[in-house]
Amino acid sequence: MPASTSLPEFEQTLREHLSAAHHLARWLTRTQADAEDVLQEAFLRAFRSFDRFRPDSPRAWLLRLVRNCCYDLHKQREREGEAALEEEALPPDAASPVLGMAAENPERRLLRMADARALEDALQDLPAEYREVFLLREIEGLAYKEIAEVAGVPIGTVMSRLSRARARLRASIVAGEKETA
Amino acid sequence: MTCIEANRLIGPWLDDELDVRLMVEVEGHVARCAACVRERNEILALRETARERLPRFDPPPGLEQRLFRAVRTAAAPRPRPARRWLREAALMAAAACVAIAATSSIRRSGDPSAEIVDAHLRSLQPGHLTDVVSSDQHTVKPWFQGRIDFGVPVRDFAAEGFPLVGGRLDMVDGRQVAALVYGRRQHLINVFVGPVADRDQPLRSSSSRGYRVSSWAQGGLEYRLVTDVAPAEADQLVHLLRAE
Repeated sequence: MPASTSLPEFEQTLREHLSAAHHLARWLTRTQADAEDVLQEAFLRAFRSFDRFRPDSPRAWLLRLVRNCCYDLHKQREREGEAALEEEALPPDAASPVLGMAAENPERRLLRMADARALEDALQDLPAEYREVFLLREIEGLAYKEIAEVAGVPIGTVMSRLSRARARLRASIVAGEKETA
Repeated sequence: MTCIEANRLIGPWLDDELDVRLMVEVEGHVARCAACVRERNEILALRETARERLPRFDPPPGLEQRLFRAVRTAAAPRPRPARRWLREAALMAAAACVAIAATSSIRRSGDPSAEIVDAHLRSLQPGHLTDVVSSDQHTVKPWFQGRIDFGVPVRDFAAEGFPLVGGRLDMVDGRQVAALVYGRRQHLINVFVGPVADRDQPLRSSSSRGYRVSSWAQGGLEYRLVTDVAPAEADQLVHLLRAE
């Protein structure tokens, strides 16, 4: 039981990795509200197991909890959602958040926007197992060993998923450029 | 090193995941191979685009506070506002009487209800009754969510004469269970809830040392209710709990 857990120590650990946890949750769920629900559940699970685990890599440990909560939410949605989706087609989501951009010349800015949007769309189209590996590596800068810990798979699987994620992303960005050209 | 071997290792090389020997080999190959240079450049371009241009979803203001508030609610669940004081004092007085009765009672071996009645009596000792004191099911339920792996249906039946007093964690038969505490006039009722693998079990009631024990299983949970209130009243709460 977490009776002896030092709350300040626990909070300090989680505070350090909140930003990474939020980012991952946001990419693995559809909405901000879902991401926050997932984080709350993950934090509670973290608190429950903090004493027992004393994780070597608190970041990988927390991200693993967040990731598992995201997958749980997906499973729950799949169970509940099928009926609801049949009843009424949902309106498409509003455009995704506008990227914060420093002032620069318009052509360059457009190019960057196109790139970023193409990558964002391609990333959203990836299976979650590939998306998470790519994000954990390229955005969070995790080592393969840590990614393996987060995703609960062997390092060899991390390598092959990452390789496929990169190949698919490159392929869809190239395909997108041809379409718009 | 062939091009196919090297190509496969370019990603891990750029990720700084190769040992020195392989690293040197891959670098040597890439220096001589246009296709692998292109592979390297594309992976780096993808990385740069991802790092610099993907939306960075920063936590909104207030999220950190909201999350830690939820954890603190789960962690430090002993709100003791002044108006609760009288009720606690009354409970402790009641508990003292029962504790005396308990020590003088003779343990009957082989009684399947003995363990659960013991747990009930233990809970009545001062300070043992509730870990979370609240008549609000919306306070008690999340408190459990932070502590046990199964969902506990928490409902208040104040309108029916069984106000929710609070909840705690307990051990029965060596297993962790959730205990819900209800009040009935000056009496207390413990409802022990734990996960069970079996199918639903019909209601069974027995009596042990003057306490009525009712047990059943539904929805993957085993319920055991212990109290010294009159059997008809105990059954009334059983009925409320069993109603979906």
